[in-house]
Amino acid sequence: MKYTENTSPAIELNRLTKRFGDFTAVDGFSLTVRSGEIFGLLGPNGSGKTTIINMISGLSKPTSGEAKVLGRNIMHNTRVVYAALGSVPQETALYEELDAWTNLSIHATLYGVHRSERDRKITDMLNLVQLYERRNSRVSSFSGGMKRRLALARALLHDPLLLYLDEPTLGVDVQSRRAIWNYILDLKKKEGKTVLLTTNYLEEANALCDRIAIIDHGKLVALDTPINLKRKYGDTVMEIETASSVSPQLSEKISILPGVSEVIQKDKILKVTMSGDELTLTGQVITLVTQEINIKKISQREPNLEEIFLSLTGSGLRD
Amino acid sequence: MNSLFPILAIVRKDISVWLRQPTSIAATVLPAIAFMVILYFGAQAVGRNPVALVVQDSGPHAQELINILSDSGAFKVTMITIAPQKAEDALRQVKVAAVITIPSNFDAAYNAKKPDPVTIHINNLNLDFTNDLRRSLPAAITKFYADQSAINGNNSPIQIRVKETDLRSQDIDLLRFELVPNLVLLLTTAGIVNAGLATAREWEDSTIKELLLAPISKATIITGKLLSGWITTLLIAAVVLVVGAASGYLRPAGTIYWISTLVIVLLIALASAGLGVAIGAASHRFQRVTAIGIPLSIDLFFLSGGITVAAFLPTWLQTIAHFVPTFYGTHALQMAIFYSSNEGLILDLSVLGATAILAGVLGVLSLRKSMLA
Repeated sequence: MKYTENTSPAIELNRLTKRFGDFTAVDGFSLTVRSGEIFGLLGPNGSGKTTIINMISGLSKPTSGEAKVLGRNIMHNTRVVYAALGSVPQETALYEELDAWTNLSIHATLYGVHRSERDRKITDMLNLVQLYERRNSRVSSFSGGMKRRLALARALLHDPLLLYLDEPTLGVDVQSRRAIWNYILDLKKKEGKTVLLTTNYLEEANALCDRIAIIDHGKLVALDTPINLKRKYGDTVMEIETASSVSPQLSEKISILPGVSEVIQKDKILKVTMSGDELTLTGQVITLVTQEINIKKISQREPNLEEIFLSLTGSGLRD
Repeated sequence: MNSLFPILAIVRKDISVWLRQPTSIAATVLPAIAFMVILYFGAQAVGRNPVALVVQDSGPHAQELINILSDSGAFKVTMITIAPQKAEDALRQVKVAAVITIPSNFDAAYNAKKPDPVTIHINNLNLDFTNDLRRSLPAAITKFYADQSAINGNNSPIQIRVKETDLRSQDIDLLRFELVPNLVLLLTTAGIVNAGLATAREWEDSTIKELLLAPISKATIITGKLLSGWITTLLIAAVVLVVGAASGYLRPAGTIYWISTLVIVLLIALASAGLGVAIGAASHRFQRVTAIGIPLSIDLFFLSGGITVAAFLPTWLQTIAHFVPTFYGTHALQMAIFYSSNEGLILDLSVLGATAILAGVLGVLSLRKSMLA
């Protein structure tokens, strides 16, 4: 059986719910991942990311709701969908006693890659992740980064339309992380593949993802592009250096502006934390300050994804 | 997609991993080897108690008794002396377990048809050794008088006629007899542990996701697992059978008994592999597989008459043994290998076949249940 490409969204989750006894791991979760995008699923540990991925993979049956992958209900069309799916689990799931080539060869057989193409594809994939020279080495002798790269090569071997990457750079050094990021970005740019990734690295989500869904306690908390998330949920910090100290009255005036959450004055430095429509607010703050005193320097820092994440989930990454 | 190639890929992968895990192979082979070593030492101890013989009569009948005692399989004459004190010293120094004395009046007593005057002084250090000697000296003397009856007819002082008829075509010594239950132990341990570890390893190393996310059916995964467990078990069995046949210790006589031996081995290995897959899929952990698999194999070994003949066990144990599939496997193999007999073969094969199917189904159910989280 072979999956025929269509124009449906890559993933559609409709009120997906999973309960384990009294505990609700995923609660009425709905989401659409478009074809050809890199989509990030972010959430603290225990937020329900893995349960969602397991349901999307057909490894766990939803208590209620529906998961459609590549236009098909995953529970009813498992094998057809799997043929078009590549997966890099968090644990890499490689056979460590075997060499890199054998790992890919077994995968090719399981996915029905034709014998005449097998060797060429394995060679191509090993070259892509720069492991061809180590093709006859046992995987147990590989570093964490090499294992991740090999797992990625394996996931791409059968030319899938959709890739699941569960924490693709977990425990990987900086160089390998950058290399893996480049592979992932190329998958979208050069091959138009859809990628669903989960990550705890907000920097990674920022660098790779077209859109990000933040989940907590099994519910969707926010969903947008990284820029829009920062715009919607982030606090911008503006630092104004003045010629002399500003008066307490000026600080008071700024602090009551709609959207300003905090004003800190220290000597000739005024720190204004603001959220919402930062462009209008910035203008208003500058106008108020210049009415009273000369401005020597203005700097503005963008909110980062971590601050947004913390503000939405109310905690740091949980263990 | 054709299921054959994925099945073969799983088998190839499992066997490759198995060959790179010498400790797993050792774990499957060691229990059987350990039991053979124990049995070897046990067999050496049986009938090997050292005995000193004090001979105070040089008459012909006394000489014949010396020969019989020396040839006795029940003890070993390590000292023949005419000095009682020397023998008693050896007894006190635990160099011998007993002192048997043929008195100076032995021939005279024989000729006068008087009761046997032979005495024994035993070091009753251990009841088992003591009872061995208590049984074996009268047995040797009985043989002496039986031989005398055969030679001298009514002139023998004690008339003994022993008539032995044998049920089986050949005598099998204890050690050789024990090779078959040990082969069965090897098959069950290897089947359960190999297939169990190969299955549990997928969860232990998280590689189960690679299999579950592949576009293949669950039946393909299960068949691959069963086959790989079966093949690795048969590889070990093949080594034992080849060595056994080459040495003559395990060599069925004739093609028909070779075939029945191989069929029985195949069925025991298949049943064990099915059970191993079930345990591995249910437990998901190496330690649990070995913790369950090895004791289970040893229990099955004992209940199938591993260290004795099951038919000679207490009644309640015999009843239990009849519910143990390896009981039928051991019986069928002993009949085929040692006695060139098909006695009870249909029943044995039926039980083993049914067990193999049942274990296979159990493996399938266990694996399916594990897959549906």
